[in-house]
Amino acid sequence: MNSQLTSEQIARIRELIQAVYHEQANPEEMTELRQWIESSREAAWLYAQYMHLFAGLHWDKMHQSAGTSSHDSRTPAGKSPVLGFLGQAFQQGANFFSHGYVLWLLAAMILPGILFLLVILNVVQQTPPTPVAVVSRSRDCAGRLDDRPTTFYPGSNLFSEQTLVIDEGLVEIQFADGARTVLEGPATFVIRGRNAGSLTRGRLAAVVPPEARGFAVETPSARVVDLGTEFGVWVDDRGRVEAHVFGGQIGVTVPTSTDSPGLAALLIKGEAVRIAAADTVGKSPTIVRMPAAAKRFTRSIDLPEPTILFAHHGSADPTTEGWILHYRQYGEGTPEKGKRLAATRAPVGPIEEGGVAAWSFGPLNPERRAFYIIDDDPKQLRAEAQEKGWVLRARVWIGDKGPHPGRESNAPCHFGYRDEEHSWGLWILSDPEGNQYARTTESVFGPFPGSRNQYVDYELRYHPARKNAELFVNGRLMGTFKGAPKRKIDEEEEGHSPLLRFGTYFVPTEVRIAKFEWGILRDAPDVAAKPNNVDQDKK
Amino acid sequence: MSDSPRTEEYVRLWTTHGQQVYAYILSLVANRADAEELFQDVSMTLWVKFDQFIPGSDFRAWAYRVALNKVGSFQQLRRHRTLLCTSEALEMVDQAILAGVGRLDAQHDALADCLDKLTPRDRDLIDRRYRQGTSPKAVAEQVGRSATAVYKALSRIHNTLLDCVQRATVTEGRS
Repeated sequence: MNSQLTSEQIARIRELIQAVYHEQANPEEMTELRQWIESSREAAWLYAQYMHLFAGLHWDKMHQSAGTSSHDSRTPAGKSPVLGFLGQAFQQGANFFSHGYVLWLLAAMILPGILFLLVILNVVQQTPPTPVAVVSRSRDCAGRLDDRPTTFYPGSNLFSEQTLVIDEGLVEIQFADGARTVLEGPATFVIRGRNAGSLTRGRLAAVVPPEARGFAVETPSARVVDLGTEFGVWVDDRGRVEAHVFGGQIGVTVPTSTDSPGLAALLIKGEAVRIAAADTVGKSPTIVRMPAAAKRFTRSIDLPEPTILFAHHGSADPTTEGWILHYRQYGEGTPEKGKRLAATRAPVGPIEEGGVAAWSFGPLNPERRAFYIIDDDPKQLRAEAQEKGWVLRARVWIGDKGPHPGRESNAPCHFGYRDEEHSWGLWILSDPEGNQYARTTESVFGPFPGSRNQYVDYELRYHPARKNAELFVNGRLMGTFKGAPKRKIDEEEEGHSPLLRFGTYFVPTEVRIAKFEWGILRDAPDVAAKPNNVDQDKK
Repeated sequence: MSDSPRTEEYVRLWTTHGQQVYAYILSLVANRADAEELFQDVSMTLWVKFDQFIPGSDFRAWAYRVALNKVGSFQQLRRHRTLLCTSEALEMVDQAILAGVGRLDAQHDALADCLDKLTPRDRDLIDRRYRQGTSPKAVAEQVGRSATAVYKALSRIHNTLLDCVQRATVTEGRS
């Protein structure tokens, strides 16, 4: 990257970078900077350095809640003040010792002895914060993380001593040592490390694998320690604590005074205790044994069920379920929108194999498409779906006979939903091993091992608040995407704007669709009141 | 992602490289709010796809590729208002970063020392803007200066800091 820019040009580029970063640049200045970056490696490098500088300055603020501030400590992350001092000495050589304060400081360090130095080295060495847990799932959450409003986005790292205040909804936390907890709002929970937390309000259910045995939950009046494998803890607004064992056993410790280890109880599966702090000083807390009530706890985050509005199931002919078959021929000599072919000639039909009933799309010749669509244009429905959220599900099988698609546009299976602004489509393909994988306009997911000649369940779940859809494959969250702008898919469907579609095109291999359904999350928001696996009489 | 060693490995790698990934994303979108949104998105994608990561391979390179894809999609949706809205511009910046990873890391390491060399007044401005997260306009009100003056001062300090970290890394490279 030898300098080819003049100093005036560099000064101008610096000015433009700062203007863009401060959001003060006008469109002409944006274009000017972009053109510099496109045409000059030196400009691109200068720009990258500035952005990394800004990122370094921002980073501390982004992670302030984790109790870190590298420049506040006046040492770079990972360096201790003592090491920095020694490093300075090394770099400055003999001149360093000419400073009076250096000799004084050395004497001061030597006098307390080597042991003190070792302690300092161990204690004050700054290390970057290490996340000890991660939000693995959340559902309709609102709350605060260290006093900052958050929706507890899946994938968010959690650090020791961070406080989660969950006003509503469910948050699943995966601890680094393996324990998994579901917190149900309203709840207040403090992360205490890789295998521990403090619950001061609300309900928590924990599943603890063998390698995380010893996972501990502190509460205002008891300490609950897992001895394997599943338990729940509830702290009510008055500080009373209940501990329930769903599997394995737990130990419960109740301190009777600040210097007493307290009472210990060992509970096994099906047992529970209720602990109330003593009313007066000197009295012991009240401990009542009772049967465990697993249904009082939300032990996993089940996603809300949609109201299904359009569906195809099993081997039923989709046209009898309200779908319209579009069977068309493309290629030279055909109109741009394709030549309509007789639906009765389409190579589609019922099939039942391996105990699964499905609608089969036979291999198509290279210029034909077969799609089932819902061609309504119900604006009101689309608006409701956009406001409340929607779910699209498909169960897909792709045959391994016939050549694999060479181009991604030739996906054996394509399905999707279209709202007023975006298309939410998935292309399902198979890799050379015959395993399915999925593609959106943004990302590729998979291949999914073991899916050759198997049905795979796909689910798209649109979140109105986040304005994106989560993709689940066989029940596992794979990622999110934001949909393709509508203008793109207009080309693809040759002028049609169907609400829903599923089918195949151009692909000389068989595709089976055992299920395709779409619905709106009309009852979704009230999760705390009636999650699927919780008693309606919950306290 | 239920097996603990893999979770632990992810956490370790993300802690090591997260800041560089954030810087990479910020370089591609040139906007702090967008960068933070994408950073969360990339973090989640890496986590859910971590089973696909081959232990011992270059985590940061993998994270950069995921981030680049995310940014590409993001740019398509917001083409009208992003700086690097052409593939040529994105590629130039991406290539510049990949070619200069070592120097960028060294510059980052030098940043704390360079912050220490600022005058108390400049340091105060930087603290208000970045450590406290105050907007330039609010900083202007706090310190009794015009917003334009604060923008200018911040720009000058940024230049000073960049010159400093560049010098530090050149010096380090020579010694």
